[in-house]
Amino acid sequence: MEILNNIFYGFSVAFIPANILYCFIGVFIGTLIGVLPGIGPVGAMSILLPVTAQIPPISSIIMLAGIYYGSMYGGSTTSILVNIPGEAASVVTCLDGYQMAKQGRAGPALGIAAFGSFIAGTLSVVGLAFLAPPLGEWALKFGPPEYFSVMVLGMTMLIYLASGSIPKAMMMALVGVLVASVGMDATSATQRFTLGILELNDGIGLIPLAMGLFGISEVLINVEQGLRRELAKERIKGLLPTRQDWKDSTAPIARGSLLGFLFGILPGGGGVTSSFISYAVEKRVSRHPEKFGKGAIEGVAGPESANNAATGGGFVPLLTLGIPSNPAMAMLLGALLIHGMQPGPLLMQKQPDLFWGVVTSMYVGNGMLLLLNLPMIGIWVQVLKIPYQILFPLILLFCLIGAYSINNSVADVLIMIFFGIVGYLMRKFEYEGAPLILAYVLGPMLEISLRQSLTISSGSFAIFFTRPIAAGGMLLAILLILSPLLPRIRKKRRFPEAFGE
Amino acid sequence: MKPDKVSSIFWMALGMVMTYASYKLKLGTLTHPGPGFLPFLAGVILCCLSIVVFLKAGRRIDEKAKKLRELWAGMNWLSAAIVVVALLVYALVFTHVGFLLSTIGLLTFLFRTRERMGWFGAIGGALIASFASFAVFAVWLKVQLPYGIIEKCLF
Repeated sequence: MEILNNIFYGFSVAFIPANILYCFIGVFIGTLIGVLPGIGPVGAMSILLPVTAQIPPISSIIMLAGIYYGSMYGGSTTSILVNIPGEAASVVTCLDGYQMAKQGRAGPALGIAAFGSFIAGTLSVVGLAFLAPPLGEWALKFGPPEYFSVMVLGMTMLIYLASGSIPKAMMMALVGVLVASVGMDATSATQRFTLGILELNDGIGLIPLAMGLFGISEVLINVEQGLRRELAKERIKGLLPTRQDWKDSTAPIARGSLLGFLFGILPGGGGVTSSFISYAVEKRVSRHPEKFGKGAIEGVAGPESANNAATGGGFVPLLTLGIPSNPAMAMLLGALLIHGMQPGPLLMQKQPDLFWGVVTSMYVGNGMLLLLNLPMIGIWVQVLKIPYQILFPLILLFCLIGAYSINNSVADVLIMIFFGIVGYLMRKFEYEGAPLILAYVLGPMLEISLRQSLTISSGSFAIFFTRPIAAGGMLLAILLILSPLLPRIRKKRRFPEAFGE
Repeated sequence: MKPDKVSSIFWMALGMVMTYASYKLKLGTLTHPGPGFLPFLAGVILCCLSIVVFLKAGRRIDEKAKKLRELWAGMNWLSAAIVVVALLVYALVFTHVGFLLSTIGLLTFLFRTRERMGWFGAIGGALIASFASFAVFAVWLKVQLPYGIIEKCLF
């Protein structure tokens, strides 16, 4: 009964006209970002972070959340029509979605992707609304060792699920911790690694770092490769799936929703992992696995549902524990901190309007996205025809404005360009940016938790293995790191190449 | 030389520098870790992992293993380099000449050299994009963009 009261309260916040507007802006931009290859939701969120500082906190979180789950909808459009994923979580949709488009079935593919995303997104929000409060209560029992252990587990899962080498992913996480330590140490007020540069006294900002690593580097890679797109030429007709399509897709949508939500909750999980796992599951359980890769609608319905369900799941650890489960959630955490809010177990009690307003706005957002993605498909097709050579200067411009507007400082712009070069080189040498950004965001909390834990235990690391929750997290993290040493597990880890987010 | 060897040497060097710098910051004690404690640990582990990656690269018998120059083979890397230089020049001049003039210049350059638009199209596109961005960010969202000659004449 209390949950229903909270949900109604949340709707009263979500239906404030300004919040509806920002929700719409967020899902529209998110869809646009998802449709356009070249910049992902994390890059878009980082570009818009400084803008959100000008608007009220709840509205800014609603908008940023809308960008995230909106991009999941939009990514399927370009995957199906152009065979280029608009963002990483739609990579798998290319496999069968584009084949359906070539067979003249782009309409049903787009339709089932949109409907599946809507159903999964709505179910995941229901899950979030019911799961978050008891999890928040449980999280009140967390102390510094538990927080440290969960954060280590989160980074370890992301490292484990990295598509490339685990040692290289671990190195990026460590680099993220080191980048986070630049600036003033919160405990001792000592300046660290500032090289005498005044602008580094406050550390390296999240926005220039993220924009550089994900936005600028993506543009540089695409410019270098001379990105070209070939639109599927068949006319799109009949967006509504047939009865047979629905019959074939119902179970994949249900499975995808559950898988996506559960994997979205797990630190290190998210839309990318969920969509790959859903595809693998659908192929495994299908009576006709040979159809996969040749236009099987299950190969679109399952993964697209999974990546949207993961967005709701991803909010669970962020809002209840204050721990982001993936880089996009890390951006949302950054936004909350910019507005002076500390997500965690007390957020529901201290800021119920923020918590329930954001949760219920996602119901509203999912409805808007269904309307945006189906009737407006013709517009998105025209958007896809804009040459990338015209788009990328505009993307660069938004990044430059975004970086400068943080502190009205050229230093932030130069930092962004520097990390753009770093991100470009990282991609050339096959190092992933996701562990770096997650470790960067978690770094300060990780350090505080570690130091507090050691103070509590009088210098003994055993505290991380004697307290049950902390021990569980640490042991699981160790198992994950060591498991690739087993040859059988090493073979199974080979995911198809994924783009960094 | 293999890319992983080159990159691991770089990260090893970074790890060693950070380890040394962290040591100078004071590690503190296990009971009261100092400001250098976590960066020191991170630096040491980074060095160790760099060695692992270096050794793996040296040992790997992999037909797909690339050589360093192959990373840029067939790529228009010069385009990317030109974009970086353009961005750096923009960052250094735009607070002096103002947002509009510098942005028009940057966009004209990028449209003209990358897309090979005609002058009319490049300048026209740059003007529209620059003024539209100014309207959205400076006027509507109140972002404090640097004022230069054009802004002072118009506003």
